[in-house]
Order: sequence, then structure tokens, then C-alpha cells
Amino acid sequence: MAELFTLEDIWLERPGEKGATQVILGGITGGIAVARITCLVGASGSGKSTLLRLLNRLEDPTRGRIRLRGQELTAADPFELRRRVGLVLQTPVMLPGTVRENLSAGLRIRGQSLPDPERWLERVGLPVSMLDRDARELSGGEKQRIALARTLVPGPEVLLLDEVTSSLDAEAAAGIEQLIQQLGVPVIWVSHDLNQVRRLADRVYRLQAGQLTAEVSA
Amino acid sequence: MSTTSLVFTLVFMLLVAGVSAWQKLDLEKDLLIGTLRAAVQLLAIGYVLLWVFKVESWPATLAILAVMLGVAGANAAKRGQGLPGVHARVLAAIVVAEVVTVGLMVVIRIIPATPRFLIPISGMVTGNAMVNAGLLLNRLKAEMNGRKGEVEVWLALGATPRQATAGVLKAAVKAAMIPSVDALKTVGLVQLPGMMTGQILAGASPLEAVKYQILIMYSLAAAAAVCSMLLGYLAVPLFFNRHAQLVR
Repeated sequence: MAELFTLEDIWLERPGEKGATQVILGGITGGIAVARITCLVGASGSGKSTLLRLLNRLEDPTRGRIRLRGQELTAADPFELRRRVGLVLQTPVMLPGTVRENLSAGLRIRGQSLPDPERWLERVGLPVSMLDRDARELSGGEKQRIALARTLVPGPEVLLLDEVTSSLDAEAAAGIEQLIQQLGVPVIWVSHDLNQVRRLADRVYRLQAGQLTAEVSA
Repeated sequence: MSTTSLVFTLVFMLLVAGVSAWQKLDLEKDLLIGTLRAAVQLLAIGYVLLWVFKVESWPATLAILAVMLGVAGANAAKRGQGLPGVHARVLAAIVVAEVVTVGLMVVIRIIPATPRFLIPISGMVTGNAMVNAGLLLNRLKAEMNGRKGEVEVWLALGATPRQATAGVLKAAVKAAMIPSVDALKTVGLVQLPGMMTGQILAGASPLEAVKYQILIMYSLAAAAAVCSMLLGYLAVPLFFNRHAQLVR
């Protein structure tokens, strides 16, 4: 099966306390195949969230290579790569301004406007009347839906989700799950919730002891 | 003011030392050093200015301006500790603020290009720009730290560091400008500024002193605006690496 991401001996080290080096990722090797929903699991502190940041190039590994569909990430323009690889973080941070401004953020930075914000609100199951509300006044579930739509607007070819339902109540989480199942974009989803993983994942990878291994194949 | 009267001004410092000793603030040593330094530094610059104004020496005038700018740059850069390369940027911003504002005063003939005008006005402009630069760096660091999540959302969407920090920079520049804007609003109502007071005490007409004070206030506001915007523009890249990743 074609690999979406290929990881070759990925190390990430950061300066620790008293001049020591803290190893965040210690030589991760493996591949993530193309699938509709891929869940990434592993113990707390195993580096799942950090790995997503590397895939979006918010950070680069200290050593090792990451490839997206065979192309090395460091060879790509970081701004274009981040458009292609959308990342939704665990805490949905709203940019200052209205919902409309949040939705169009990814296009405005490229000098474009968003012609159909209403369609995006409908796509994430929110009322059109919300468009001109202050985005920071929304509920947690609404913010997460806006964060999802905001990341989808520039048209990413893969979507990285970092525990996007962990801070939501069951109803809001179920809404997000349903939405993500209908996206039509390959999703790599970091999740702690094993029931959620069983419900949604087409493929599951476990990050453990420096190895990324396929745990369940669809 | 006679020399005897000047010596009597020490009574104020004795008052401060008394408060420090009474309240056990442990400031006596610093106060002694501060009192001596203030007197020595001011008397020294007084004699230097006396000579420079008399002979109208341009090398000496430029040397004095260079020392002012250098000290102001080094002092403001302390607020940017942890940002490699910040010192040169602070210095550049203060120098540009000084050249633009004082240069403009000379070009449009508000003041003559003589040491008697250039040195004291440059001192005020540079001092104000120094305070402004320090405030900007302080606030920029705090905003970058407090709004890291917002900056990373922009970056993750593919924004450039400048796009990602536009809101942060705006908040930092605005905060750094507040003292200058407040001073414009309250001058004459809350305080009579030092320069104006000095002129009046030296026997100048209050109206003449006011005219110069207006010039100073406007030029200080302009210097603060130029300094904070330029320094903000120059300092933002220090928070990122060449791959547009937030590193600080």
C-alpha cells in the first residue's frame, strides 16, 4: 500500500534542565499508509502530538528524514507544505475576530477571499447566523468545529488531528466524529480514547519505544 | 543658583537616606553611589557642553550624540535578553528615530543646526526612544509568550512569521506608545515637563518655554512611533528560525 508519510530514524531532542538534553522522539522509523482515517495511539509522553507537529513542520526533527508521498519535507516550501498538511490542535485557539474572519484566515494570508463561508459553516454543522459572531465567545465544541473548517478551507491533502475531541462533552465529540468521517480527506488522528479508535479507525499505528508499528489493518 | 544653594540640595538625599535607614530598606549604599554619580555626571556634561557650545565643535557634538545613542541602545537592549542580535536592532531603531525626528526639525528649520540645540533635543529624543524600545521589547516578549497558540495556528495554516505576528506586534507597539500618548494628553494639566520648568526657572518667558515644550512633546511622540514600529519590525524575526518555526 502507498505510504503517505515515511519516517526514517526521527530524533527530536530539546535542551532540558541543567544543560541536559531531553529526548522527545528517539529514532522513530516506520510508514503511515494512505487511509481514510488513521489513528495514532501510544502512551502519554510517547511523542504522538510532537510527531504531528513534525509532519506539519511546526518543528523539524533534530535528525532523520520525513517524506510526504515520497517527497522529503525539508525540500518543500514550509508555507506550501503547511497548506497541504492541515493541523488541528487539541485546544481550539480562535484567532481574534469573527467566525467569518477565522474561516477565511488560511486564504487571506495568500491574498484570496472566501466566497462561500456559509457553505463551510453548514459543512461543519453550524448555523449560518454564527458568521459574524466573535469567535472567542463560542462554546468548546463550536470552536473545535470552526478550527476544523478553518483548516479545511485552504484545501489540505491530509488532515492531522491532535486529540480534537478530548476536551469536549460526549455529544460535541460525537458530532465532530461524525463530521470527520464524512470529510473525504485522509485523516491522521491522535487519540487516547480506545473506543473512539475502534469506532473510527481504518488503520491504527502505535508509537512505542521509537517504533511506529501498524497495529490493526482494515 | 549659587554653589551654596546647590550643596543644600543634598538635604533631599539625606531625607531619602533617612527614610531608607528608618524603614531598613538597605538602600543607603546605592543612594550614596547614585547621589555622587548624578552630581559628577551632570557637572561633567555641564562643563563639556559649555566648551562645545563655545567652540561649536562638530566632532565633539557627534561624539556626544554617539555616546548618548550607544548608552541608550545598550540599556534598552537589556529588555530583550534572550533574543540574539537584539542589541544591534535596538540601536538601529533608536538611531533612525533620532535622525528622522531631529533631522526633520533641522530640515524644516524649526531649530538651527547648532550644538546648543542639537545636543539637548537629541538627548530628550534618544532618552524617550530608549524607554519606548525597552517597553516594546518587554511587551513583545510577553505577547509572543502569551499568544503562542494563536501564532502557531497562523503558522500551521501556512502564514509567514510576519503574518502570524501581525496582531501580536500591533498590541506591543500600542502598549509601547501609551506613555507618549498619555504624556501628550496630560502635559500642562498634571505635570510641567522638566525642560519647560528649567527654562522658566532660568528666566525665559513661559510662552516661549511652552512653544519649545510643544515641539519636544510632538517630536518625542514621533520618535516613539518610529522607534517602536521599526524595532517591532526588526525584532519579530528573532523569534523564528529560517524555516518559519517559532523558536522562542
